[in-house]
Amino acid sequence: MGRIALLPDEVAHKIAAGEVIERPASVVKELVENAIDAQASRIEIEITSGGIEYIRVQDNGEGIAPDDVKMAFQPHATSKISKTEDLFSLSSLGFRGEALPSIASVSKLTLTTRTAAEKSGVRAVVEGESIHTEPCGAPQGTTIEVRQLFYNVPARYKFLKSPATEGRRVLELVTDMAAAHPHIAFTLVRDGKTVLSTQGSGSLRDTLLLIHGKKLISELLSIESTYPWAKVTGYAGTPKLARGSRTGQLIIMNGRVIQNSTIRAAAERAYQGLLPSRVYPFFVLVLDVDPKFVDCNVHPAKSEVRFADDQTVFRDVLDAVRTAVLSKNIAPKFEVRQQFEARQRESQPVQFYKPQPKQAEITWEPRTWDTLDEVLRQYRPSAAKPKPPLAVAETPPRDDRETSAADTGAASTDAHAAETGIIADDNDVRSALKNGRIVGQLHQTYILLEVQGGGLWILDQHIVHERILYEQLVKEFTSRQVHIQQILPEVLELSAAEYARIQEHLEEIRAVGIELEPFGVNAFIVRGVPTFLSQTGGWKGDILEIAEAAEKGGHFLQAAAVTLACKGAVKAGDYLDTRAIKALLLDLAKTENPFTCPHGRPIIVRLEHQEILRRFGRA
Amino acid sequence: MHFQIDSTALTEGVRLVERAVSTSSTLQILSGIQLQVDRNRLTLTANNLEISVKTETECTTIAPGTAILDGKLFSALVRKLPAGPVIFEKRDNQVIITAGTTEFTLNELLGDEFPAPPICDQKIMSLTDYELSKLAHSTLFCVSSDDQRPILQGVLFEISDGELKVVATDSNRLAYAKAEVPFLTTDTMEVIVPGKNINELLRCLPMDETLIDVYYGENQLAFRFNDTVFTTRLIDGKFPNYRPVLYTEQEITIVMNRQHLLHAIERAALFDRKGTQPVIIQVTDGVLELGMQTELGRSVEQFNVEHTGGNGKSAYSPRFILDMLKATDADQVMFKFEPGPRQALIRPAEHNNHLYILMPIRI
Repeated sequence: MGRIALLPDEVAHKIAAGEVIERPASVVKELVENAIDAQASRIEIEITSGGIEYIRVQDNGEGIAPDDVKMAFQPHATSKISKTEDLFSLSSLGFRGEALPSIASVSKLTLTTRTAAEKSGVRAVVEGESIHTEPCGAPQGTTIEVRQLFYNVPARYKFLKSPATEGRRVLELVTDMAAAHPHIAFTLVRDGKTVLSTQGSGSLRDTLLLIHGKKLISELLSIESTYPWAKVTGYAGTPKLARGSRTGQLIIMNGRVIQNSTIRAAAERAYQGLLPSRVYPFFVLVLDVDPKFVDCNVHPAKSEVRFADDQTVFRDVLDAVRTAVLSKNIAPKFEVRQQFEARQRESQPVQFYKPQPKQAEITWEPRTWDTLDEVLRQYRPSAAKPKPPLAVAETPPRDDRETSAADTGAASTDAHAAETGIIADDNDVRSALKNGRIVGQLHQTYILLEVQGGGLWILDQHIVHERILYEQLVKEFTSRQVHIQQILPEVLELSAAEYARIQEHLEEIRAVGIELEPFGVNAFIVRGVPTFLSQTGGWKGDILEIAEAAEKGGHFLQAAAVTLACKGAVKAGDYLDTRAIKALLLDLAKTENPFTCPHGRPIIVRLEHQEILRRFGRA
Repeated sequence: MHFQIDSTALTEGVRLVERAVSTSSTLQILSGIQLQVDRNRLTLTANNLEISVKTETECTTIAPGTAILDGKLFSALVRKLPAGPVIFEKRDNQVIITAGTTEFTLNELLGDEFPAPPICDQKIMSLTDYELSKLAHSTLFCVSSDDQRPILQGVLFEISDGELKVVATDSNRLAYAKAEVPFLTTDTMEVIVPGKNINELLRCLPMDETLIDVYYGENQLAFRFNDTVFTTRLIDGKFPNYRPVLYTEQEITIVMNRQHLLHAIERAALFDRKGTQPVIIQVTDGVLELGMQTELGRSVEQFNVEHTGGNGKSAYSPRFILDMLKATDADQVMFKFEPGPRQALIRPAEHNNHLYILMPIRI
């Protein structure tokens, strides 16, 4: 007898189930997608012990006609598509006809359903191969109950995590799906407690607020852009919502939550310069893509998609998110009030930090990076104002975000600044730094300063010091005061790409005091480095960093100074006594830009007197 | 396991092996000290896979056996024991330590097998602890701290031409020391030993003219002295070729008293708070001028020196010069240099067993 035989159906089903059904969350996903495809407007999910014991998904959708009930449990039986061509213009979430039979083959499943046309419903109890149906009373829609998941697949049962973990996965999944379908009211009941409930109002914003809390309200920037291949909507969070992981990111495409590295990278790129490294922005992107441009049938769980043209997707998503991010001033808030500015121009000068009667937001609406650069530049002292006595004039500092400042030059900056009239009187800031009373150190990280005229300023000590060192270094670099330690020739072996990049920017790298000579294939000889680097090692990294900065058309000297300043500055957690703080503040007052660190983070957070009054209800 | 031992001998043994107790907890067994008792010998072993130390001492054995105890706790306890006999007895997975009226019960570290010290059985040479210590101290200060260049974190031990040469460099400077070793059993060898492991070894040396036998094993080097074996991992790779750097002729040579130069540079270095400013060395017709200028002020000192070759000036890191002047005990030092990017050489005036290469700072 031959040794190759067809697998019994039962075994084949379990194998197929293995691909789609891994854990309770995958059961919930399949069932909820079915409910959505059935045009439900209300979906209620209930789980006990993480869904391992019991899962119920109830919808008010179309329901299944009595004659179709048995058919629904046949593999590859579906009402969603009927011919191959349909695969390429999918509009439903499911289409493979695998979900129900797969779930049924690994659990004890009960299905109750009634269509609008029928008077009474049908209940089907499936256990193993047998399907037992009987008429019964039921509301319109479909209810599926899944008990004892994997009771007949011990291998998979063993790989389930604790009920708490499995329950969390279900919760995360339902949360994402609720955001993906704001027009459907979702309810999730976990062990008898309602843990999530959305209204199905159709508004993504309302749904997000229900999910993440009301505090989100002022931190969401609306995204709305249309491109030939898709319409991109959703919300971008301000940098305040950014966190150390990507948990705040959600990409929804044609009603399905997807993972896609191109889209994610594009959205994150939009925040470049606004967030420190390893901090990830919050965003919810909703893409309505013409099915022609995307292939959804890449993965059985359908969580991955493939685009016909990744580059266009990247470019357009970047554009869409960037436009949103720049639509509001989300740079460090500088409490300049327009009303006050107007008054100041007309009449006698008023103390800058005096409590203002009424607060008004700055109302510019920059739409491009250039505009943002302009806005940032206005935080700077400019020639239109009297020069602060101690400021150094030769080398205007340039942030990495301010690359275009170099081209426009100081004159146009001043013109623009005068035009908009939004100039911080930085002399006042400087005198506040010099004359304020140091309250102390908070968490050995922040300096608390009581400012004359009222208000509390909080300064990040690391960033304060970083700014001071940065300006010193830039000055040293530009005046060529850097000494070069000659070293025993060291061969730097590189990849071809690294070599090309360094070769291209050799002059810039030499200008910072690193002496390099090409040496054979893909290698350089290092013959000298600035004395402050000579003992630290790791020059390869430094050199590449400088080359990269030069590549971006940026200011490599500044880029090098940024790196070095960060290394040399006092750290968060260092104890500073009052005299040290005083010295830092005096030095900061002498810097050209006491407002942001070279990376673009704010140095000073201000709690204005007015704000304190308001909070205590005294205003 | 059941034995009695004098607390002094025990303390000395534990002092040696505790250096090899692992402080990181990736493999718990490595944080232990292994006790092995056979006929009248107690063997203590610790191994953190970087170095391993094994030492033997006499004891009175009642019953042989083995135990592994938490290294940190055990060594701290032993150091605090009163003088006199100490009795160890193992019952189940516990070791009971009794000294006079004091009694401790230590739980054994269980789990993995204790790693045996690496086998090094190819004898290389023998030299006294003084010779080894002198060679190490002459060079160790040049070892790089740069994690990205592991080879420079090591010290080169090279045997060639009947001599042992020890070299270290951080690519700003290079130190070289050599000695004729009376008992060489191999003609050529080149191994790189991690600098910090050599430091640990130096702390273990008895420093009483003990002869140390050096053995080589696969990627390991073992130092045996008295009843102790200290084994260190070697760094894989090729040490940079230092010979071309060492043998160049500089144009200007001066010879002067080491202490005078040391103190003068120390004074100049006071002005260099950031550690980045060079001291300028200028020689004109037998007069050496040391100059330093920083934002704090400036210093100038002049000395009459023995001078051959031309006049000229160059600049060096004062700290680098000081390191060498402190590492040698010669009365007179020779300083050879020239203007331009070429390296300078500092060495004892009387002999060339200890050479120091120093790169200039361009100003």
